[in-house]
Amino acid sequence: MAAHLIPYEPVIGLEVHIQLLTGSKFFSTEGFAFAAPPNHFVSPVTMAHPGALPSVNAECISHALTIGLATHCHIQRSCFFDRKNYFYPDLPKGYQLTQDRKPLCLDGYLEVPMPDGSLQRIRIQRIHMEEDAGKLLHDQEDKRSYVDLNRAGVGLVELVTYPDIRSAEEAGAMLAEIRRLVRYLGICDGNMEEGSLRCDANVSVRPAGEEKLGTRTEIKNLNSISFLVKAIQYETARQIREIGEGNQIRQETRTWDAARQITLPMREKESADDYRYFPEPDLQPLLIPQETLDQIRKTLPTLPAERFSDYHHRLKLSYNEALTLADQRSFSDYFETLRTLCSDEKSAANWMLGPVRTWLNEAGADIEAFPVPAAHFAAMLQMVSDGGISLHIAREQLFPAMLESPATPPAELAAKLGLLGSNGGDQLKEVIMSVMAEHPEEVARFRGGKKALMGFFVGQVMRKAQGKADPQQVNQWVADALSQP
Amino acid sequence: MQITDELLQKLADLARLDIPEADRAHLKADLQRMFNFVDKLQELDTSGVEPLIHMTDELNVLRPDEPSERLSEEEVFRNAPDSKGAFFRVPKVVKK
Repeated sequence: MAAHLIPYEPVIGLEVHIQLLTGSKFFSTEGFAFAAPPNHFVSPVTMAHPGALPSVNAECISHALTIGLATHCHIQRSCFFDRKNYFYPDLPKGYQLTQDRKPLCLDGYLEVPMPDGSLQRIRIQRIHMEEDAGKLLHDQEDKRSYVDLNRAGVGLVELVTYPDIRSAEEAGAMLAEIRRLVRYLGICDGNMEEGSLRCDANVSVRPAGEEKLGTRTEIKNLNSISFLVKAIQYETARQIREIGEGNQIRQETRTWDAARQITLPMREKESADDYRYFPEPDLQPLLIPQETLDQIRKTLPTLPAERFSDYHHRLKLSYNEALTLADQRSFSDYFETLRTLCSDEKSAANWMLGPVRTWLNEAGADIEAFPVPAAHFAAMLQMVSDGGISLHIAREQLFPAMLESPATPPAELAAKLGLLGSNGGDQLKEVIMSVMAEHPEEVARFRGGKKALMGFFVGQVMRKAQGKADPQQVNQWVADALSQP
Repeated sequence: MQITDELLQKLADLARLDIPEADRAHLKADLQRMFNFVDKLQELDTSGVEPLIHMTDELNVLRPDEPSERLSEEEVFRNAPDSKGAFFRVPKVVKK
């Protein structure tokens, strides 16, 4: 059988660099910011001036522990830093501070929402702490490279997955979940365009059913989820084609060329790597106290995948709706508060995904800027579900009014705007109809001649309209409605 | 372990040292003596002994996450052999 007729499956693992959200760098005390003027954030430690010694930023350790615990890793409470030795101008010291022999976190996993609605477990091999390197510009001059050390020394964790991923789409879902997670945890801004979240993919192919792994290539420079998906699709097809043509896959580093939509072998450093790792003598080892772990564990939020699963399976939202509702923690948190305050969770979800999102998009704002307190929002939802006001009027009139006057309770606003009174004819009719529907016996007795029940009906309608309807109008309409057969 | 010319060259390359021909013989001899010294130490049976990695008993020496002074532009470039604008400039370090 010709090789190209055998079905091949890709085997994919990801290496994700997560830049930690802190005020100062990992081992030196200067701050940093994306897009600052070149070499603006530089200190004697970063420059490796003689005698300058590193010190460990406590917040970096705390962030690393947070993601380790959130991904169910085993925390190696006793660990230390290593030097990874190499000469390259992106780190003037001549080595990178990292963790080689004893990473902080081992053997965890993430549950990842897949498009079929299931959660798939992707195992994590390790998460270790290290410092970022500076940036080099190679294309300014023929014989020189330019160096910007702003990023040198900034705190990172590197998360390495097991090769558990079996398609480009799964890889995309995994990276999306990692980005959601780090944002939920507040340890990284997840901005792939600015490089605060970076991903490399290890890709190999093998005949479906085969145990043995094929030769892998590593694809670098994947600065968006869609590039990751496209690059893996391309690379998988390329490897299958090469094998089909009887060629060997070369173990190499490749880069994604976004303009041409292909992967290419990468330009390599001049000499072969020989990192000669050894324990960093300038930094004391760590022994993470059990109390620290307990404390961090207590602060962990409900994770995005759990929320997705709840929204998709319990609230019966679609895959995309559930993912959208769970995507941003503050947005999802608002909904979590809202749902505890109102009786109809599903309609609360629909309001979040509809009018609230529309308003946020138009305002270009996050939910933090959404002015309506959840309690008022819930009261409005309650008025709708009680029939005090129609969904249509709520969306078109009351909701906009609440955005204008967020401090005013919605019942008061509705009354002020006459949404429950003479101008709110449709809603009043709906309330009357629902009261009649709820009391068929009384309706029959009224129609049978017991006219004294009129007061009962008016009372019920006024109560449902939360006392904001015009009593005269109610009297007249109730009489009209009851007299119709 | 025998120090060969190749090993000496490899170590020099890794350390980015350009060793003059005239110095090689005595450097090789020095290095050989160091290796012999370590070989001697390795005769000791240390199985079951935890490696001593750090020289102090201190643990968890951490600092709060507070940004402090950075170097001024003038200080940053004072010792740099070459710069252009706000960049350091170095010999090109990738293959074309």
